[in-house]
Amino acid sequence: VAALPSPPARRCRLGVGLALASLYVAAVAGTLVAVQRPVTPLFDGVQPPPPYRWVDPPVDAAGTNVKPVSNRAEVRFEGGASVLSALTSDDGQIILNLPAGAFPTEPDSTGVMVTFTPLDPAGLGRTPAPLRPEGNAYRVETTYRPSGGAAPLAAAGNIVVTMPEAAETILYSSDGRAWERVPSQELGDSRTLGASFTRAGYYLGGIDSPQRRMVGTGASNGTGGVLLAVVTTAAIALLLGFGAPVVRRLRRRTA
Amino acid sequence: MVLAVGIATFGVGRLLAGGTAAVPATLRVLALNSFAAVAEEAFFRRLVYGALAPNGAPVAVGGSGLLFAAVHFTVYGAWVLPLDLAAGVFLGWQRWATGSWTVPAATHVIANVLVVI
Repeated sequence: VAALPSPPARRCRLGVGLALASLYVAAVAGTLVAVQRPVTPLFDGVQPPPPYRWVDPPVDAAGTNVKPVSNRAEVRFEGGASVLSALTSDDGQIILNLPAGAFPTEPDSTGVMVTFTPLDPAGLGRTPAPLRPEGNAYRVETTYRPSGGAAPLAAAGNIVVTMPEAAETILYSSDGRAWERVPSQELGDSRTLGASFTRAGYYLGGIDSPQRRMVGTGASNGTGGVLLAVVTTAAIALLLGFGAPVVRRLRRRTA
Repeated sequence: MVLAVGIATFGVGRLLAGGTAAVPATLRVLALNSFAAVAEEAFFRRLVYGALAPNGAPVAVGGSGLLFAAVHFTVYGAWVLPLDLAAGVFLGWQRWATGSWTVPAATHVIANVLVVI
């Protein structure tokens, strides 16, 4: 039977715990400041995707739709280079991950302002056949601060686009009129595509289905796959957590 | 006491983090969130911590916390790294302070439930 720790040892352990608890709360606060949207305590478990936020919602989503708005986020310059950054649009449906040094520095600039503007794709150029727009288009602008001049990318980042329904590809346009396919890959579920981010411009999800498959907000789409993945992963973790010590114990017993 | 500190910590984190639950706390969501939490703790605070424990508590707490953060980082992106590293180390402290993985497991379950309420 293990001896109980002495009162000073207990106080020490509690002190360490309180320090780590404070560190965790500070990390939550820091993350909040960094991403500028609500965060969850541990980033795990099961959460079906939130309803898609439309600029121009379909009739069945109009009642509950929360229209996204334009927002800006800054990439700071530190030590002669832009810092590693993860930026999101107001609705969280666009995420930009930029490596350190993504933007070249410019004299007198303090950083680069990235502006996300959600747009109704109906007001932009036609997508190449047979693709149709899926969800909002987003204009992503990168300008030096405070000059306002266009900031080109020196190193590629990646862009993650969440759509209301499974889409085939991300489309890019420099002017909002002529679209081109961007090599894209699914990230986690079929509603989320990722691609390399090498230039500012317009981004949009494209689907080649003749008719919109989605009814409602798309909240149920992909959930089954996510659940299966979570349950499978958790089962493997449980198996490893309990299985390995049991096997070790059995080996020791038979030795 | 250690469990109470854990619940208070993640409770403060949830209040501070703000936002509303994406979905109602249905029985299925609660069950899956709890299952995921227990499974993660069985892996990180039982298996990984146990494997690292012969090297000392700091290595076991730090190593299991680092791996915990690394796994979440690959799923949720770079910006969760500080938060999940802090959470992983804190859960590791609970394991060290109590000598049992069940206390961080209970804390983790409650933290996951807090997400949907």
